[in-house]
Amino acid sequence: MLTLSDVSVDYDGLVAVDGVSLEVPDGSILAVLGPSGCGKSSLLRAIAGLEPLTSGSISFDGRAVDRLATHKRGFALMFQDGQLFAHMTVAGNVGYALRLRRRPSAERVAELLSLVGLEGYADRLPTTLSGGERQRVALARALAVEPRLLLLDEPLSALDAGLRERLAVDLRTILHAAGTTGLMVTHDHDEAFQVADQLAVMKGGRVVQSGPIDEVWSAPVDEETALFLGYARVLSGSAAATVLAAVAAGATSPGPTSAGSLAVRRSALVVEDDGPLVGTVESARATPEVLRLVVDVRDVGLLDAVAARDSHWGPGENVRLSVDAARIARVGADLTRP
Amino acid sequence: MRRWLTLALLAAGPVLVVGLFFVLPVTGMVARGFWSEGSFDPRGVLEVLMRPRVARVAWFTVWTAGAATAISVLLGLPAAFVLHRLALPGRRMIRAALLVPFVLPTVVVGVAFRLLLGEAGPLGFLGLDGTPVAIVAGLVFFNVAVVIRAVGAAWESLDVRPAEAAAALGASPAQVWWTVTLPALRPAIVSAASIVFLFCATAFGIVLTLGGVRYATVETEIYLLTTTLFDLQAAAALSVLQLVVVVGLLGLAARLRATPDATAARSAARPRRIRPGDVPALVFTAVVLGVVAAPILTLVVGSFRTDAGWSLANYRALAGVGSNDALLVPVTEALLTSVRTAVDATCMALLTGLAVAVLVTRRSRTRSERRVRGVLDGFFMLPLGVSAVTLGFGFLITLDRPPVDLRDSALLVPIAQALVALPLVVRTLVPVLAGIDDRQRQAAACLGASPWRALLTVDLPVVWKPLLAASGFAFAASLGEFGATSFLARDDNPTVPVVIFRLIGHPGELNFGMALAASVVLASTTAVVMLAVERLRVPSVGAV
Repeated sequence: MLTLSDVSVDYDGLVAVDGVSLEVPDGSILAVLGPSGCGKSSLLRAIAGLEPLTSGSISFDGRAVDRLATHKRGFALMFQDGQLFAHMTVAGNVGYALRLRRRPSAERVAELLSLVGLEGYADRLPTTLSGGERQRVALARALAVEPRLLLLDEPLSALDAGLRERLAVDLRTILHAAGTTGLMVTHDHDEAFQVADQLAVMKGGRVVQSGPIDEVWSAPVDEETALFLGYARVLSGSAAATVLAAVAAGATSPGPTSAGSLAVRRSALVVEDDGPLVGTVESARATPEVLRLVVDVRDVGLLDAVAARDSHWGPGENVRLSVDAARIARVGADLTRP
Repeated sequence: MRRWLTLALLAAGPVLVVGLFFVLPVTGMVARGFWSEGSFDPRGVLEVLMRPRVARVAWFTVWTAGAATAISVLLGLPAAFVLHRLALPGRRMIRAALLVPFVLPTVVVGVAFRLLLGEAGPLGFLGLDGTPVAIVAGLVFFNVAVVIRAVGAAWESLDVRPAEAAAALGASPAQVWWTVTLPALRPAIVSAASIVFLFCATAFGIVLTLGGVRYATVETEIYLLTTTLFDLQAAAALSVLQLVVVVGLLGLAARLRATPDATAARSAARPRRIRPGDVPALVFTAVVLGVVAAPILTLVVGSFRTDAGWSLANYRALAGVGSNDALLVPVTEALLTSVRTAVDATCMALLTGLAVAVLVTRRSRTRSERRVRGVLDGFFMLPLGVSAVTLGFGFLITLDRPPVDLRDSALLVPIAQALVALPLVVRTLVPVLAGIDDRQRQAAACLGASPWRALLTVDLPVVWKPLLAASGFAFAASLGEFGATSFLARDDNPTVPVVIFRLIGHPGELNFGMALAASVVLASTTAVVMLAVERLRVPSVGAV
């Protein structure tokens, strides 16, 4: 288990990471999510031993590692752009760490290449690979000696959208198959959800919220975090109460209906003939899966909503809406966990 | 803490070397100028600088260097275009051949020009022997290659699309040149010109052999004052003047180079086919090739001629000491000394240069670390600001007593040559090392590689070719080094350039013939080394 306690990193007095404490249990994958410049990459580099700590400590399985040099920590770091060694073949790259430990093994290299779906690529040079293939090689290289902790620095952000989605699923499967403990930093909440099972949200060098991914997801700590987690709007006061009441009219309520903020996803409101909310369509846009509407909901204001793809709502028309309880979250309210 | 320790350990060696063999001699030399008989006396320096001859010498230095720079640029530009932009058959070979003059020993070039322009030479009818024109021609011969290489490299990678856009907007070829191409090339041209001016202003061997006592530049004047007139204070005063001017010029060159060259759009264009409009440029290129080839050819032909017609007598005589005992040792022995010295100097320059290059290119983590590295960077570039003559003179007057007594040491000459070659090595290696993404080393470390192993994995594959090129460069520079060596080499243990200079100073048909033969041997050795380096295709070599 990786344990960070009160870790701080600064550059020339400029604080990048400010008193971060986190735990990553064996076999689980923690995603550190945050906007660029929030210190998440510095945190990752500090764990890898590439940046010295100004205070705090890092330990693994109860043993402090922060005095160890990078190459003695037994962690592997996978860079955003792979950082493959250009003068080595794919097999040379993947087998690098094995050779360092004086146990080169062609079988192990072949096994790793098949794990990342690149059989037959052994003799290619990195420059002849596509971006996705390069990241797969980097992953295989990082996994070669079964590191006790795999650090991933925005592993998918250099890839295009379709490839990213596919590789994210693969990444999760591969890491779980290998039983690797992982820590990944990313600014993309989708990526975090697809790969990780623990989530920590960072802002201004501090961790503002952490926990199992569903918990964080269903109870963002504040408005900014909610927006960063992919919620479209945050409602407060009577607007929030109105939407919550509409949920209560349905079967499952997300919790007590006291006043507070409410985060709403873009697909939280669904057009239904007997929905409790009433509104006027402001605009409509067709997408491959659903019809996306912006609706001026009575007593609430502008909200996003979805309708079936084959419906034909247009601006000015009145619609009735129901609320999908799984797609809204109360902000900051029930964070009084022990 | 560990970072600082590593930094200090890495810096210790080079700092010691440069401190002992550069700072000490130079400060000793400055002190010799300003302190006379134990008391501070700057009037002595002022008095020397006010001498009419000094003013003449300074003016001569400036105008010959200026003229040679202008001619080099004018001749070099069309040749750079032809050799880097046109699909001229054999251009790669011509480019490689043009690199040879740049590393040719200065004394050899002096000999070649005297043979070419002398009374009996093919161009003797021009009556240019012993005139300033000959000196300027010699300087151009050396430096046109620098212009071609530096500007050519920039031209080759210049994006052609802006020029095409201008043409599409209705600009004539001349207008395209003046409004688009020239402005894009200006940083490269200015930087090449400033370096060439620096080379010309500090040229030593070529001026000494072609100008004699009559036409002296600051460099040769320091030599004459020291070795013939024994006026050490005046020599020191001139060295100080030289030091100030050269450092000023270097600073200027660095500032000019810092103009936003890198931001220009870069893409290697395919060389295009030759058109009728290219004929003037081709003619100019032919002239350049003629200017470069004529002295060399004359030299080679001359070395095979004696009174009795074609013969190898001059080469056979290299085993002897010349007529009237011109030398103390045979030329063949001097050749051995030269090679041995060059090997020693190359090793020293390479080790020091590599340490310096690693030191200044490592990523700094904190502002204070960056500042320390910046200061070290400037410190190690100092030897570049001093001419070889000043260095040799400084060695002569400071390293002959404690704390460093190397008067009789066989290492004195190699050390001086290593310092002359050091900036070349550093400048070849620094861009390469700086170009390595530090995250590559981090990636290796994260996979379990120790710092040494990471160096082997990441740096070595990138740097071994430039390292080889730098050693070739250092070796060639050291073989031909004359400025510092002329002060330091002992008469009974001279290097080949010193021997050649001595031979042409002694009367006698055989002595001159031997000088020619020795020049050919020396020139071919450096040329072979340089052509081997050129095969490595390291881009920064030559773009000094």
